[in-house]
Amino acid sequence: MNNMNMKNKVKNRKRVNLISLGSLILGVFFISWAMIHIQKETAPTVYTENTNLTSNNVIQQNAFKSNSFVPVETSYPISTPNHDDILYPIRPLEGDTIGNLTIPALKQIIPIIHGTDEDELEKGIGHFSQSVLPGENNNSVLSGHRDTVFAKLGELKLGNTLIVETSAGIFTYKISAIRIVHKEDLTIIVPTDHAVLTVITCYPFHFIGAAPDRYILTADLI
Amino acid sequence: MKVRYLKLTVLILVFTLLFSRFLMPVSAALSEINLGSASTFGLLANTMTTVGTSVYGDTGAITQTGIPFLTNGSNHINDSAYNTANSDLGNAIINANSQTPTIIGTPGADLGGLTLLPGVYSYPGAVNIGTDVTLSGNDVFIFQIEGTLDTVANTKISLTNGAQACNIYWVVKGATTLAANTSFEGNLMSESAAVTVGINTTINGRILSQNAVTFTNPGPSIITVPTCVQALPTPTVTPTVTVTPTTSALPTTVTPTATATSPAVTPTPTPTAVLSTATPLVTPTASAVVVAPTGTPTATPTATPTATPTATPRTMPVPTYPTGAPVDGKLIGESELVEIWLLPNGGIVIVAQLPDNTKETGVWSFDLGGVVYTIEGNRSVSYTVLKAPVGTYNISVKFTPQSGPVYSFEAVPVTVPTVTGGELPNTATPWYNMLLVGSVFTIMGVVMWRRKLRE
Repeated sequence: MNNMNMKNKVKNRKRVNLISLGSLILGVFFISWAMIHIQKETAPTVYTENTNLTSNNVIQQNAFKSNSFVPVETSYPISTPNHDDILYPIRPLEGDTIGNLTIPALKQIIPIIHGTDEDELEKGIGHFSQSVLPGENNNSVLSGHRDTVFAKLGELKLGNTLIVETSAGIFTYKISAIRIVHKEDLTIIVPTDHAVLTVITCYPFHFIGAAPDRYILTADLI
Repeated sequence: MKVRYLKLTVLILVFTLLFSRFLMPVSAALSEINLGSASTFGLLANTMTTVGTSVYGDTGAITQTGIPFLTNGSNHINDSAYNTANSDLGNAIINANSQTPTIIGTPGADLGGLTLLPGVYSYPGAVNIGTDVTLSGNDVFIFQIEGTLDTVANTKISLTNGAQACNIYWVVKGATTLAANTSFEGNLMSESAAVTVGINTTINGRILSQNAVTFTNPGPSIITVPTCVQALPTPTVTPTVTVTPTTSALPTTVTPTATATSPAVTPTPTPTAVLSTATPLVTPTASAVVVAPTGTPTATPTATPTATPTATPRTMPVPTYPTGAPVDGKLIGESELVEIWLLPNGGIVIVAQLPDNTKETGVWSFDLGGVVYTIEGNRSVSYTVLKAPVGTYNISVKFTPQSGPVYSFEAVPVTVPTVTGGELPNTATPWYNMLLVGSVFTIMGVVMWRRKLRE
């Protein structure tokens, strides 16, 4: 009887050894894999000392200059825009590269892809397709991963510039507001009465697991 | 013993499968219903009461109150043409009711919100159309309705994926009521009860009744006898994009791919309307420009109605326009014959019609900033794009008839605003989740190892 008990105890001990060792190995493997990807260089920077960041703003006939973020109601007046206001006669499709975002304060130039699915976010900054394109007179929304293209977004301050270059020209925006909202907030992506650039990423930047909040930068066209 | 039972089981299984193949009813092939001489009639009734009614086709009745405005048709009152058509209608109803049903419905069924495929639908009672319904597929639809057929106001029957009104038959035993602002598709064949048509109703099809048909005062309503389009290519589900080379001087880095990912509600056939900016357009006073297929610009043709003069001279009733304007839409762009409406969900509705009394069947195409959608149709169309591009751009509309010159409408600039209350995109990568999982495994491993050491 004592021998049987001893044998069972040895078996159990071996099992526990295997499970605990297996868990440790798996855990280390996952952590390493994740860290490698997080640390990998993913924000392509083609930024040198000679990079020309002089903005040649496209003159928009109906551009408003405002430092405040003023969302408008959906009951906008009916107006037929002039053909001169058509900055993008051909609209992009999901997956198209529509331009670059230059962040002088971070010395980064990052491509902007139309669409915000994983396929697009893998390649760079995603442009939310249900928002206007950069430079157009409304709220243009960009989003990106916190551990890739927007890893340093938290270093930006009010007044920093964001320069977007597309087929329609070069548009310089100045950051006018920085907010942190819940990921299910529906008050960020709304129409505006002037050209605004809204930049979104996950927050907290180093939260382990699915981040519950979003970091929002709002910038006005200058 | 076990092997013997196994062999027996296999034998029974094979036998059952073979035998059931013979027991299964052979499904009747769907065939078009031959309307005979009734096919030229847009409106046929025992007793007809019209007010503000326009018919593209013949009309006929034994007794008639009010005189419909006719285009390309004649009015037949209790003559041989009417009697022959009425007889042919009777045969067509018998033929339609004899088709073997492929779908058995329930009494009181509501077709609203459904997308129906071709087939023979049999309903042992009433049928309602409470909201918009879609008929999808280039084949025959037969609805055998034992009870009444009722639509709710502002209901629309949409045709997609090649479905044509000429191939749709609503065979109704009970009374039929088409409520106000109904957009009806197909041939309504009423056996023995009355048909009532509400105001502002458009029928792309026919109303053929062996009883009374009454149009509600003050109208108007329009009936257009459809033409089956045979020559168009087979519709495909994925719309193809025809990228129009821009004539603008703006440099472009945008390179649209050949396949649109646009989630349009109506899958389209391969577009036959190629939007070529190389074709010179002549712009006459009318807003619809006619472009000859060879590229030679022509003047706008004048559509000459060929209505038979009626006993009492009358002016043509003005059709309600737009026929497909959404109730909750906001007008964001218009030209003389085109209206663009914005829906609260970010979709847009394009409403267009051919000039004057032009009666054509062909393909409508809509170019939304380089993304092209097409649909088969006739003189008027109401087309919904669920996720329209957002921003400011031109919408160009063209109509390519089966034969004859292409109609090009003046481009309508629109501004579609950023959506309200959009969900924040999911910007999470799997790596932090993996970090979490790895941490959990590591902690588990450490805890179990320490417990083992203590033992």
